[in-house]
Amino acid sequence: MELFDKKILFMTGKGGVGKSTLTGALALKAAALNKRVLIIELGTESALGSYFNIKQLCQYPKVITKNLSLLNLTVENSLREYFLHLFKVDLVFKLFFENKVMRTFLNVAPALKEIAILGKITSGLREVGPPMPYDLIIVDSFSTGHTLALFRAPKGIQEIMRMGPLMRQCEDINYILQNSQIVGCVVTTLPEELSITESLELLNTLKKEFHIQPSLIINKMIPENYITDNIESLKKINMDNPFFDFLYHKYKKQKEFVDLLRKETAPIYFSNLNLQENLSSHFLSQIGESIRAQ
Amino acid sequence: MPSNLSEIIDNHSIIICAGTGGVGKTTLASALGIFAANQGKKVLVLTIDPARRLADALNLTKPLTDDVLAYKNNEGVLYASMLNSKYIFDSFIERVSKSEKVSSRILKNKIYQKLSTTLSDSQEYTALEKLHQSFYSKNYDLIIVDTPPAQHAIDFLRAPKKISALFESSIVKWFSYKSKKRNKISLLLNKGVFTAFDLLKKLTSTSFIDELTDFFQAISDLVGPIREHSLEVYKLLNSSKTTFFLITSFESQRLQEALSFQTNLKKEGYSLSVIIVNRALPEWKGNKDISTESLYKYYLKFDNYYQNNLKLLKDSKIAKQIKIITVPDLTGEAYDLETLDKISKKLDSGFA
Repeated sequence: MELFDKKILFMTGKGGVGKSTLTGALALKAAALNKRVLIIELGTESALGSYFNIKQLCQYPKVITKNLSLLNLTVENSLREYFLHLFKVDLVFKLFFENKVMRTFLNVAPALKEIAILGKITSGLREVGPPMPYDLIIVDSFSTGHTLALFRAPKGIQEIMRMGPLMRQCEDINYILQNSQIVGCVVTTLPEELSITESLELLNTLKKEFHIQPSLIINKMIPENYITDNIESLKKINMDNPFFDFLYHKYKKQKEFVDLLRKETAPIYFSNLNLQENLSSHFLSQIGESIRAQ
Repeated sequence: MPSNLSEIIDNHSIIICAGTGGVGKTTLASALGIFAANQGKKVLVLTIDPARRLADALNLTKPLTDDVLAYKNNEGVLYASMLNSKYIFDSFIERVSKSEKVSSRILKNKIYQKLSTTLSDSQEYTALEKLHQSFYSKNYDLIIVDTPPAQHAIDFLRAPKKISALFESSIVKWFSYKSKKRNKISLLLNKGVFTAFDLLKKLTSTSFIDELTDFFQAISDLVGPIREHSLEVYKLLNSSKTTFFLITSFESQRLQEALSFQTNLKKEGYSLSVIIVNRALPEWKGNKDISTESLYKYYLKFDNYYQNNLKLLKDSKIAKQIKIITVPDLTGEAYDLETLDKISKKLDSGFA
């Protein structure tokens, strides 16, 4: 898969489309191809931990299966590592972070949290801080808005600061983000009206604002082996059956959307609807197996 | 426990549709708006960032600062608005400032400009501010509030507090006074003495520190009015005429989330009327009359999936504590006023 040629993949898309599931599925797929993969989750909870029977947040990269590690990135830990790299003593971080004012400020200050996180994600490539011995890092951020905030942060900082170590860090981060051979973005969408229009808007924003050409995954597709070329004859046999109508309608719409999306972007991947949802890595592997380029 | 939707609408002036991202809050909030308008009310639905199809249906076209007429029916009327964070933040500063000199100093400050336009946290803050403005305009019988996408439903109430914290007098003083008055927490490093502030200076730049100091000096005049204003906003949320609807979906993690939201709301004394499980079931009823075997097998898979989810819902802790309504998945349809009306009728019948 072309996707796996990148070093960092950002998974994005509106809430509820199945980003986290696909993150897990893609990660397992890459790991099976003998790539050393790290999943980085943002936010205060782990969506993927439960698939691998991990009860606690992984503060440091934790090996969860062959070739695959999981990290729950927090702003605090990212900053701590950054400070350690800059000042060589942990005490400096304590001074900064245990100060109530600094914490309040950090909580609210635009872009600072995002830079801390982006800094950690790109630290391996920038050779700053502890090494990140991975062939592929997949970042599961939790919504469109937050992913855009991430990408906007380096420029945002540069607009307020003309110089200083933080500003230089942002320059380095931006340099990496803009390298399309290193960084890729995956937009997940559903074959539904609202989701498609929103995803197209996101694709546009990514192209215009960041010159990123994202890959697209259409998730929860009705698998084709239930839809054959004989769908019209199937229709005659099962006419008036509400379930068939539902499926038929979905299939038609799906086809429409795929045709529409093909005009807007490439590559496009498909992933099947799997009705046997359960919290296991096996489920993720099943999803992974269904992911295919079209 | 509320007996029907009309009753809830009659008894409240504010309905807040909370929930995580991607569950269909905006659609349901809009559908509620249509329903209330059909009841003869003057309604406002505050949306955050509606998808284009929905925005078009409601006459919301960017860029937008005013409320627009979305729907009219005899005596009832639905207005809609889209959150314009920057505009709301700016007009908020102007409202709490005693003079133009004070407000323009803040509006020009680069830190403020970044703060007022950044995507995180400020959306919750400005949504509450817009609610406050709309409520006190006395133009509406009912205001329905859509909330920004978040990892946790409770973020809607927590995030604005982070911004308010910035306006606390102790924080403002800390940043706006010169270093002599600052509490020296020192660290001996390379024979130098550092404070947290010195650290910030080292990391950023002098011009940034100057901009930051200027920002806090500028807002030091507003600390009092902003604090009073915050109290007013939270009083509004706590009022008996304000209630929350939690919108969620089937996935078990979401149901867990619903439980913690309910617990948190109770703790803070807010009122949660109902939990709405959106897009719960497809419209087709179980008709097993399928002659093609492969199709029948597939039908069974679907049926199983929905039955399992329904069971999870019925057995959940949260079902014992609060009324839960399911709304079917109508996403085969186009997103127009007619669909919203259909959805609102499904909502209403869910109460029965």
